[in-house]
Amino acid sequence: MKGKIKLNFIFPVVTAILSVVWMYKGLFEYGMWDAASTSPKDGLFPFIIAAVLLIASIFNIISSFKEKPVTFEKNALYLVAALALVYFFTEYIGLLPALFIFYVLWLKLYARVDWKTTIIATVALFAVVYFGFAVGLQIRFPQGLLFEMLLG
Amino acid sequence: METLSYLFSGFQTALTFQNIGAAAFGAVLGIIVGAMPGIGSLVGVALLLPLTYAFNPTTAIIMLGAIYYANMFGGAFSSILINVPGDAPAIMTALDGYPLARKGKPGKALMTSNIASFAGGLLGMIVLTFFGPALAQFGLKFGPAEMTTLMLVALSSISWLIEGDVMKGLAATCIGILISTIGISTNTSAARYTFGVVHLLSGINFIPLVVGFIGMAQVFNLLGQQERENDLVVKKLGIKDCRLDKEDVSRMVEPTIRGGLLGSVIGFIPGAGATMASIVNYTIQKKSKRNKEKLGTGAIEGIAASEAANNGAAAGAFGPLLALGIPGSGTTAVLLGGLMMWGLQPGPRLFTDSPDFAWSLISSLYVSNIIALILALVMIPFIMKVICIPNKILIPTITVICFVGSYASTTSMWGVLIMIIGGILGYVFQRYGYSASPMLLASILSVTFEVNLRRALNISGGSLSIFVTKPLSLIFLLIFVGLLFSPVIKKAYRKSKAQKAEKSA
Repeated sequence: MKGKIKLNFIFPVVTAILSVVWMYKGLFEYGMWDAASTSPKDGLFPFIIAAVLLIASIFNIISSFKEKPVTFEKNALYLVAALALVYFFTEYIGLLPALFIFYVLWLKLYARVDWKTTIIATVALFAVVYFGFAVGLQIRFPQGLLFEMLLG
Repeated sequence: METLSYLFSGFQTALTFQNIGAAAFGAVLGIIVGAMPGIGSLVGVALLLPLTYAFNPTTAIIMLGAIYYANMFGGAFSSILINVPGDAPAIMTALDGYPLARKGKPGKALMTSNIASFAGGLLGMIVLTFFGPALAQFGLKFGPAEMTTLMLVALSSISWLIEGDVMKGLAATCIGILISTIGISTNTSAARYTFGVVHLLSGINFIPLVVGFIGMAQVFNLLGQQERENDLVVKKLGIKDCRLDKEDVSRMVEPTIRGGLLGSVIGFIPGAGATMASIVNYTIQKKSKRNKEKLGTGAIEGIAASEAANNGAAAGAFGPLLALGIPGSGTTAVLLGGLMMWGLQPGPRLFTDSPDFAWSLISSLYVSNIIALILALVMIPFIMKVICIPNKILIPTITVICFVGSYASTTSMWGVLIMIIGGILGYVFQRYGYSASPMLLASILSVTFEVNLRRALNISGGSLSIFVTKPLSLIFLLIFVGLLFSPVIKKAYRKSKAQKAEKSA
């Protein structure tokens, strides 16, 4: 199930870029030292930490070439897509219905769990979620445009 | 005497109906998530953190403490029954717990584990009660320079040594600090690193970040794991099957007392924690000549040594957490985040400024210890079902909990978005061999670190000499330098040892 792609250097490169952005903004936008009040400005602390991150990132880039290839689960992409879809559809059908559909579809289509287990697991989980969060903690979950229209 | 009167007043708060209920609820959840092999204490505490939102701060903190503490009890179940530790500290428990269960005595193994956990934890709490305030008293001597160098020690001890790769640990630490610089600066109230995004003005909310970085990342990991074999040693088990005889109890005494005391001392050391405590006590026990059976073959002494030490350390870890504001592990870092969310500022002034909070929490640990013991025994038949839940059901279930928890803690889909991004980032972290604990720890300690660094530089007019002219600060600085170079020293030591062994061969 694992697809081997040599991506070891990418993450330390990203952290190096991140550190440069933080250093730049710290140095030029927020400032380092206020000579008048002899006190540090908002950019000093992030600048120091970002500089340390840059050094660590350079070491990590160099050592990344000696490491075993980093692998990612191809299935992780399905999960990322599912998370994005739940987030997207929440605006239209609400959070709990979107999660309900995700849960049932995942169990049936991806995990291939039988109907009996699917029903028991779904009822148990959503009973806990509804009574625990919506009733117990009185959380008002987003209803979505559809339910807002239907319920007025 | 003063300590005892504070403890007594803490019990008065902890023993109200609402707080006992919250502790019991937290203990039930803590045991369940601790027992699940795919979850463990760090993920468990992260997932359950949003639940505390419904309560007042004291009750919420009591519930958090119970969740954390009961997790330690739960971790042993899967070690003993299916040979899969629910959590890192329970690894040593599996070495003897599972063989004893295979010999047809799973009840005995579970009872030994629970009693040793209770006794070890109790000893840890006694140590915490008397030494916690003393540590805070010592901490009151710290000025900004001492606090800054202490933060360096705290960050380096857990981040770079425990986790292995120094540079990756250092990078993870820096990323955690940089993430926490986003939002309004605590010193000047000016916006920093918000990139024009209004939501970022209030910073990155800790709970959705943790839920994503730990909980959701674990879901990604579970995708890649093969389904566990359902190798449950017995089909049914009740409390009746868990009796210990006199000889069993006498075999437990020594490893339990030593484990509780040793564990609580190790728990006080930032960066050490429950896993190290259980390994150390188990190793000592292995060398003991008084063992009735060889350790590793199902010896009661082995189970007691491991469980007493890890629970002692779990209680002891509250010492530096409350008295100095330094969490010793990823789990206690999440716990600290929860405490701070409730307006509690752990540190040297906690015991003087908010004694009611501090002592309620300590007292509630005693209460949680008793509740967790009772529940761990009563819940045995239920937990046997829980630990068999396959990954294919756990994956969507944890996902739903992550969504609901991150929304509940922020009442905004922005929180859900942070959770999703945090989850992907957490997964990338793991694949690249970066540990989550240093990142979390750094994001928690960052504010204290920056505030004290700025104050120190303010006092000295920008001179760095302030960090070496103050004796305590200098000591912390030397410890930091020692920690910094210890991987190199360790490597050189191992190399010379290997060379010597080669020569003698």
